Amino acid sequence: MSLSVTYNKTKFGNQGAQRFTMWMAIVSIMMTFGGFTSAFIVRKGAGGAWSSFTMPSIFNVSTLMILLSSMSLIVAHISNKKGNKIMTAVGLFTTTFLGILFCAFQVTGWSQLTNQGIYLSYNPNPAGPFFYVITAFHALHVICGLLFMIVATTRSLFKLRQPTSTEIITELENTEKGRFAIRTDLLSMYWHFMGLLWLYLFIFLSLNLNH
Amino acid sequence: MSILLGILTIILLYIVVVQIGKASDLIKELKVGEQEDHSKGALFLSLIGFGILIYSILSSYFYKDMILPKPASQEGVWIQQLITVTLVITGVVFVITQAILFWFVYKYHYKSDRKAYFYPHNNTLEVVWTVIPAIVLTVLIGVGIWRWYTIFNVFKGRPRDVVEVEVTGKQFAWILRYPGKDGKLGKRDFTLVNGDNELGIDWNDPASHDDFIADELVLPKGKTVYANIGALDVIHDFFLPQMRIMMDAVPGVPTSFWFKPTITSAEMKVITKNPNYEYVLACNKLCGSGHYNMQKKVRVLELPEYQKWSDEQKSYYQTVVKPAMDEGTYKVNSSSIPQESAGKVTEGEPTVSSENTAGFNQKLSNGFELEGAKAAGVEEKIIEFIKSDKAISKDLWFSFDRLLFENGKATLIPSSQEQLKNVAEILKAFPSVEIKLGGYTDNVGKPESNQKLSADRASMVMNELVKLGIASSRLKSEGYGEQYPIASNTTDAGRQQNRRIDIRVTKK
Amino acid sequence: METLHTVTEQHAHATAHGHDGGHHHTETFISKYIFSLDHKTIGKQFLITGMVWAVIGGLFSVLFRIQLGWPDETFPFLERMFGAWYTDGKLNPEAYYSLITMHGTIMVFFVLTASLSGTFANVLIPLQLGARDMASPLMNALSYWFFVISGIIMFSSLFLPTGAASAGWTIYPPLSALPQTSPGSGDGMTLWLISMVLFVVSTLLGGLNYVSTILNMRTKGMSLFKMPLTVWALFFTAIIGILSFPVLVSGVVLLIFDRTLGTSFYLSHIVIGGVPQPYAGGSPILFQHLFWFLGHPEVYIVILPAMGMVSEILAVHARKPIFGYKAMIFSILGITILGFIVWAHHMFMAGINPFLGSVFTFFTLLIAIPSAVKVFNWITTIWKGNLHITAPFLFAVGFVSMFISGGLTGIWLGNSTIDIQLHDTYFVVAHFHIVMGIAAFFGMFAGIYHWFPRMFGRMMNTNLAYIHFAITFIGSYLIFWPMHFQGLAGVPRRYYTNNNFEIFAVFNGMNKVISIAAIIVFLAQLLFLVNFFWSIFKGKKSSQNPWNANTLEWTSPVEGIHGNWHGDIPEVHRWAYDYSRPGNESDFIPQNFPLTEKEKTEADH
Repeated sequence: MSLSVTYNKTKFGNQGAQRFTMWMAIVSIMMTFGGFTSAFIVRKGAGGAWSSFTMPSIFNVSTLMILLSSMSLIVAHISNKKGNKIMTAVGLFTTTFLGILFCAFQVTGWSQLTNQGIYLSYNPNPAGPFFYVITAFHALHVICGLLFMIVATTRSLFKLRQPTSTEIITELENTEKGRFAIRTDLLSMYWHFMGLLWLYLFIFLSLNLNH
Repeated sequence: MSILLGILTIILLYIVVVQIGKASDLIKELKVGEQEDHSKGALFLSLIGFGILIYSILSSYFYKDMILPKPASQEGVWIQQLITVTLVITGVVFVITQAILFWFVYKYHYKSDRKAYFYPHNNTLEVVWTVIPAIVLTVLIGVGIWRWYTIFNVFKGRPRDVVEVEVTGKQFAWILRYPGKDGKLGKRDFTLVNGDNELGIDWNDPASHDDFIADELVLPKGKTVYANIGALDVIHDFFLPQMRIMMDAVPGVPTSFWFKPTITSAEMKVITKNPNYEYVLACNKLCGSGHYNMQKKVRVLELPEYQKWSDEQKSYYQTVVKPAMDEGTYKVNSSSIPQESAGKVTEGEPTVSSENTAGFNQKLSNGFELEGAKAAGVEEKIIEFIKSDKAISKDLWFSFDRLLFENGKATLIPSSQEQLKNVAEILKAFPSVEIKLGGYTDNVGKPESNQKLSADRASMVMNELVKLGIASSRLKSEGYGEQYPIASNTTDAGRQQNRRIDIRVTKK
Repeated sequence: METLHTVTEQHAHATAHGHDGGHHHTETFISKYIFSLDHKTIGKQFLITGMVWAVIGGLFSVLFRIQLGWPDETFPFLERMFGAWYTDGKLNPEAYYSLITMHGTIMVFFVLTASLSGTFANVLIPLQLGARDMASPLMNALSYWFFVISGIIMFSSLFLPTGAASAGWTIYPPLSALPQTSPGSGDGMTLWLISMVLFVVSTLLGGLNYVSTILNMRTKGMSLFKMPLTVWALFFTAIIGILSFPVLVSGVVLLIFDRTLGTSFYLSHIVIGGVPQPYAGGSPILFQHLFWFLGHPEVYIVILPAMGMVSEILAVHARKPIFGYKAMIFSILGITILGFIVWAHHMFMAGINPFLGSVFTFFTLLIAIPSAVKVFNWITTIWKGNLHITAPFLFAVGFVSMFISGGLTGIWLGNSTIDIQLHDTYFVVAHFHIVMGIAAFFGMFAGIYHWFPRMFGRMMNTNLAYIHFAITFIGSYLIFWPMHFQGLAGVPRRYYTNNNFEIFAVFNGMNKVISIAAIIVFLAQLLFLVNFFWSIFKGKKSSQNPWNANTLEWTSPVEGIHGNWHGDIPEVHRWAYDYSRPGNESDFIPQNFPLTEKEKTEADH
């Protein structure tokens, strides 16, 4: 990502500017989670009621799912640059599938927690409610990303039917391929961020829920 | 005072109008000739500016007698000193900068034979007017923080020789509790809160036995008062304007503030030359629609007088709790969170707290013992009427005092069951009695919806009585909407009284 | 002004051909005026929507000032107009509190954040930087439409039977969390929260775009230190928003959970009407921290664009460079950074640890330093200028005067010890109204008068502008200056009436004067609106560069075209403030004029 001025190039807008915008959107989402995790720390540090609990092990599985989904997305991205339509579609499809699995496992984890007695409403100990709010808010953002991911996957599947092209995208041009590349580029940034954000939250919660 | 200010205003307005007239001329000239004349506009702007500057100085002089009188606490004196220093510094800066600004506006207005002076920067000047404010502000910060730490005893901790008082805010009143002769406030426990024990005082704690509730905040001169500040429902603020102190009262987060009153109420009457002058306690954090109406009178007495007043106060335990406990009508240390509503949020309208909480919980002829009935409550009134030989009258209605509905709906809150059961049992104990229920609302909202709501609520109560085993032939219900108010609809309290269910005996 | 071509433009020209003025795509009425992607149109949309909101917010203030000025009178005609808010001709206390809550929310968020930033960032950033449009025109349009939807939801809450939100624009829980404590905390509060979440989305969409455009889409030669101060101010404003609004979202989400899902993030030990509530473990003070982490930077979001515009306008109309261009930039940076570490000065009396209080006092008083630097620089800009007393100049000077007044009382309040007496009194009301309610509005007015020709190709009427200025400036002082004394007399804010306390009731006379002034000032704004709308259609047609200014927006065709420049975008050779430069006959040199041989040998600038 370079900050150099690019003199308003292509029809689809300045790609450098758009990537930059996505970076800043990522920063702003981080600030929201920063608010939540600070509130968590302050509340925990203030003493009073605080029930420790361990996260059900299914969250380890969901963590793996989302990290794997980032890897399949990288595969899709490289394949798109090389012009390999089949692998692009496969990669995107895998990412979408793993993303859905991630959400499913999160929901399973929540219901396991509730059965354990750590519930959301009228819980006198805040540790549980904080856990639900933070992880649910993250899942909400993942779902938004999933919607875009489904669209991208569908588009890539349609492109499988088009005649093969051996063009390699090295410069952004006024073409369908270029536009698709920009969009998946931005989507990838967002998706990887979701994975890394989950990793941060997972580690944060693992360390701070117990004591 | 306001006359003088009014005159000043009129003068300013006159200047404005005149300048506007001149400005109009200016515009005409601009349109006609190439010579731009900004002198009139400059005069206009700078006169307005200087006018406002003069107004702000003069008004300060005029209004200075309306601000608070001499600070009535030691802490207030320190605050006042800091204010004076800040006033002088900011006042000087204010006058100088405004004057320079508007003087420059006039002096440097456009002249075609002049050119502006190309002066893009001067780093020395920047440094000068960064450093000087920094120094001045450091002084203000230093003094301010020093006083702050003194007031809060940051290094010394909680002071020891104090007179303690507990101030609890609720919508919309203050509850003042003093520790009594033992100097210790009895413990409180949230789980003990019920209709008779708003503060949740633990009567098992002997320290609570000499605590008393006071109608006024009475404070001793010359002794540090330690206020334990809290709130029951929403955030309030304990504000003693003449003492110049305040602290938020937060539910769930007990706060405190200590201060030393230095001027008695009597002395302050002399200082202000107002024989009716009183100290006040006001709420200073928005707490709902009654926020502006939470006053409590405050009196500062000389120490011996204070001591006398304190000794004269009767402890709440001795006058109210113990007799009720002896009679068996006081629910000792039991929570009133009904089992069915644990886990649900209950809605309630603020109850009018009564000094006398002794109840009317007698045993009926069918063996049922009334529960939670208040003295002169509806249970007592109905039974008294039935037993008496007073004639049936269409105008003799009694109001239920412990029925609560969800806001705007006809659904009863579970805690209402107690009084419903009482009434049902009364009807069982007097099997020939027939009654009619009337529903009433205040006059807020559309009459048609009020009518419907009142009818729905009355029939809801009737259904509940049927569920509790009363034959429906003995019951009638009707909604009267906004009619027959029993209090004025212009105040909150009045409207609350008007929202009611009444019961009338139709046959004995 | 001609656009200049250079040899190096060839390459850019070749790739930019799809974007010149001859760009062919058919525009319908809807795509041109309603769902436009053009930043200039979106800017005007923000402006006009903001004006609507300002009238509504101002009207609310007139209503509650009538209550405060005449607390014992009844107003049957108001009851006929506003129905449910009045009983027997008197404003209900619940309605009063909803009115002040909505007044604050509307003015701070909808007018001074969305509309002030939205209008000028959208209109000016691409034009002053030499860009065809924003980095993402689609996001830009979405930012506006999210603002509209948010506004519709907020407006609809006024018609609920339980009333609009009434816990103050600061919506502290437990009051805002528990509907039983106030009718306005029922559905009205729910709609407020939904509206604000959408509002934050709108603000973020806008802010991300502004920063990205500024950093990525400047024209050739426009280095960061050649940008006009307007853009610098809008740049930092957007950054502040990106970092602080999300924390409000986290606070609001926790509040939503407390209200609807029975959590206890902010609630503990609550007893309502003698009935204990099943919440435990929370703290209302947590909300205050999360709220004010946005709440304080928010006021800088409000004032910085005004400061940037005033710097620009003073330079143009004084025919003199802004004094201390770099110092101005660094002071904006200083305000930005310090603005993030002072939030708890709104919480000095909230029950926080006194040590924490002293830390925040320290930083709060420090923030006065860059503000002071700016004031001195503005005054020095005027010194020895050649001042054109135009409408924009009136309001720019008015801004400086008001900022001095309001800023100095900030020094009183920032000192925690003084705040023990003055917190939540009318002294605070006076302070923030003078800085936000007047100074920021003056910056906005100055900007509208100054850039009106750029937006609509015509000039506004100067006569009316003078009258507007005089009434607003004098009237505003008459409204807010006396409030300082009420504050020093201990009169609390957010009181429906002073009549319950003798020591406060003495101000009923003063309150009448204030209310009368408020009504007059409100009417004067309607005069401004008449001027504005009439001038759009019938104003004197403007020349290409009516103020003889240096910045690039005046090189773009005055009728406003898609893509902003026919042919190539101008290339920039100098900073924005070559006014009355010695050795030049003209008293201004636009940014796109190349350096003369002589200038190339001179030092910086």
